[in-house]
Amino acid sequence: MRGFPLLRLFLVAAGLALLGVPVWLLTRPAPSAPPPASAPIEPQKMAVYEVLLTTSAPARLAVRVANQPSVESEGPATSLSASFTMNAAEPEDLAVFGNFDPAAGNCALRVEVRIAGKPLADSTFWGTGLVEDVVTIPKP
Amino acid sequence: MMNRLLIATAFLAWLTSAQAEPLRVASLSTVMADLARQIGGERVEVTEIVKAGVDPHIYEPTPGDRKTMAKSQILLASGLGFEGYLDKIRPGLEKSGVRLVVGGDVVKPIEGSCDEHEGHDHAHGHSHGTTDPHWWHSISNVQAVAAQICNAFVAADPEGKATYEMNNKNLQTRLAALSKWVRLQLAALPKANRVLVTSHDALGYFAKDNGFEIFAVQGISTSDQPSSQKVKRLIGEIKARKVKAIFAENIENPKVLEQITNETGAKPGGVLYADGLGSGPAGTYEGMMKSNVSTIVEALK
Ligand SMILES: [Zn+2]
Repeated sequence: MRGFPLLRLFLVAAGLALLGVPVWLLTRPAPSAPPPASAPIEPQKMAVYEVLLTTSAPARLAVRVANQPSVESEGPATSLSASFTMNAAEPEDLAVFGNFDPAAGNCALRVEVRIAGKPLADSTFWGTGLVEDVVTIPKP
Repeated sequence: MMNRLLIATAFLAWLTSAQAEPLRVASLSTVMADLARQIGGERVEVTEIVKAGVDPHIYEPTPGDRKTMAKSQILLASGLGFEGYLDKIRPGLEKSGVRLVVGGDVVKPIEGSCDEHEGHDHAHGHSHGTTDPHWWHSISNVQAVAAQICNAFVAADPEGKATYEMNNKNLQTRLAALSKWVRLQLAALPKANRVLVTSHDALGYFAKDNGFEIFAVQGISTSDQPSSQKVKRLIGEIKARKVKAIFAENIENPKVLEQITNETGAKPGGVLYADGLGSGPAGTYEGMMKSNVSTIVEALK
């Protein structure tokens, strides 16, 4: 041992480093990150949802999604298409509106939702005057 | 001939007076009292024993209340353990000929998230299992209970059948419209934001219907006390989920809620009606539901 000063130095340094570990564990700053939540938040997989509204009579049409600008028809129309980019793991609900002329009687508002042409949801709502409802998009 | 006419007149007068006597209904639930008024109209007289603003979790009937209950023909109760004293008073009521209508008998019950048994005080006045008794936060449950009340009224007062059934039909339509209104309002709220932090765990049915997660400071009763570990964990959850707002209740506003708001930076989201109806616009079921939904959407969107 005596003849190997480099080895001695290495051993002393290693010993000191080992002794330092518990001290470092005790004195290191507390992690600032909050405790893990019970439900891990999945990384977002964004997808483009194509929405098509069609009606049995002309109506002022609108479709809304949380946190995004709503898409509205310019005046009465019998169709309206829109697209929304949303987290595919948890797509938002669509609020759909068709404001018909009450004189037109019972009218239908059909809502179709697709991703890359593949149908995901297809609902039809009936009513007189303002027809409004919510479409829940199934998770893929 | 004269005699016959007199008898007929007397019989008609008796019939009219019999109809004028309203059905005596007492209620331990503010929600069921509202439904009873809407279904019964002028044919019933509803006495609210537990009034809005009273904490029903810790309420105990006074001798005067017991007398009112015994004098009623129908007594409305939430059930599912909400009225811990119900089993105690049931035999006496049955002896007095009171028909008991328990909402919890016709709803779809869910389990309460009674997860904290360490430091969780179960020795409180009201008894509850793990079933969540706050069923009225699901509109479909309220529709079932409205039909149940209608049937009870028809059984007790068959003369009023047409009125009760017509009123119930109208009420069912209004409840369906309310359900759609709720869905339309909540569509404006991103799903990632659907986290409800409340005083006690009363909104489980609302959460289940509308895709919310609940973090409650207390258990399903206002008398459940949170442990310090639970509060600490809750603060961690709120920070991790970046929860925007924390809600107080019209009856309870524990200091611990204030501590959580201070430590997490989440803002006070407003007051929710958890254990029944409130006053003013929240004095009806529809008003209460609309107030809660508007408060939630406004605070979390
Ligand atoms: Zn409660």
